[in-house]
Amino acid sequence: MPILESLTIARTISAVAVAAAAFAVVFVRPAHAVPMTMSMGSATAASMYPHTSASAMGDTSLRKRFDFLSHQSSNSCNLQAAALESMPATSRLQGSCCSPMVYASYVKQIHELAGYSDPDIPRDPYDIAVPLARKLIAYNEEILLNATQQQTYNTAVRKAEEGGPCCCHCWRWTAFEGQAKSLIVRRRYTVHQLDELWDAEDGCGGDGSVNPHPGMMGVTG
Amino acid sequence: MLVASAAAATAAGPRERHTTADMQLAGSVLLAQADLHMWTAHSPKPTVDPLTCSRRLTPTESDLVESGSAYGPFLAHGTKEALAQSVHVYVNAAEANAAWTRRTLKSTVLCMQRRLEDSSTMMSWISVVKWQKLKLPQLVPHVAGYRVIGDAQAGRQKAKVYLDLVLLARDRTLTMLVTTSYGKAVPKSFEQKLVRTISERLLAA
Repeated sequence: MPILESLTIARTISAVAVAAAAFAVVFVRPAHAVPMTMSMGSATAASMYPHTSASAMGDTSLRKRFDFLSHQSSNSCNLQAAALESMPATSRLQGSCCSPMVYASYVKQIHELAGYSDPDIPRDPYDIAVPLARKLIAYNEEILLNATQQQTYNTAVRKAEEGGPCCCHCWRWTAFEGQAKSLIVRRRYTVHQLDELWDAEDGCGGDGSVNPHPGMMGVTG
Repeated sequence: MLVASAAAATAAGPRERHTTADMQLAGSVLLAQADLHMWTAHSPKPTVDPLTCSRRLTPTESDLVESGSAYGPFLAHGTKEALAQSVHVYVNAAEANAAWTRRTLKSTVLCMQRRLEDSSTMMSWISVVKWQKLKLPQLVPHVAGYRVIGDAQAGRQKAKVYLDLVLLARDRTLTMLVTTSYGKAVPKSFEQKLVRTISERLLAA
């Protein structure tokens, strides 16, 4: 009997979620290993994801970019990092994953991100090219932090307003985790720098106020 | 994702030229339920290594030849601890040494970290917070152990999760033991006892 099933017998549903997550890692049958949280199938990826870059819209004003991006939905809270592998290289992750975008916050974020010149930092948090997202995700398979570096990352997560690199555990969390590892190792980023960057990269919509449920946006049930 | 990982592992795996003798040799190194008091075996019995990685993190062994393999049962202790083991026998010690070297690189720890974090869902997730090498008794020529620790969260509940990997090898035989636990790590004395038991079997093989 898979451990996931045996655990459901022994524990409450919520407690099981933690235990199952631990045990699913290596032992649970493949069909149970990754609960179906992804709604994006690979077969339809090409048709589901936009290829139009807001930044490629010429001299489009911020207001027009906002109007365009605030109606996009390819940046979904349900979208996990693995799903990006099957997306066309020209596709983009656009829009807010959670709350509706707010224009004033969007403008503020764009201005903040303009202050960065690192190729691993997106210019627009609501319009991220899939190849960049894949590159950031891949850092998780390349960079092994030492104890001091790991402590920097852990503290940044703990202090982040959203409870981590993103408000929900979607592809953005994994991508910005990889990005953080790269910045810690390559550029010696501090806790404060990471948290500032994550605020500027916030793709969750809303007015930037503190998330009352860090790391839990998009969680239902 | 586990399916894809298993496929990746197979694609990079050694060429199989299994012999009856080496299949028996591999099987003789496995832990059995009788070795573990109060642990329960679950079915189905695994047919792949207890730790599989993405293609990028899977060591390439396609240039090596495996003459035997065995996969132990998935064993659980209550609801908080579980373990599984695999054994590989190579055609000669040089190839086993090559496999050992490739399976104890930085990518092994990265693989463990990804296995923990990739099991996250919207409802429950794990963030790696630490990794370390395990101190284990050196009773056979090759001994290595790694522990990756994560913070698991489901709603407002939080718990530490532990993923341990122990690798042992002697002569032509290499074995991998994976344990997971949550709440607290598998006791050091228990893990060392397992290492001693497996080491004795490797020496007797």
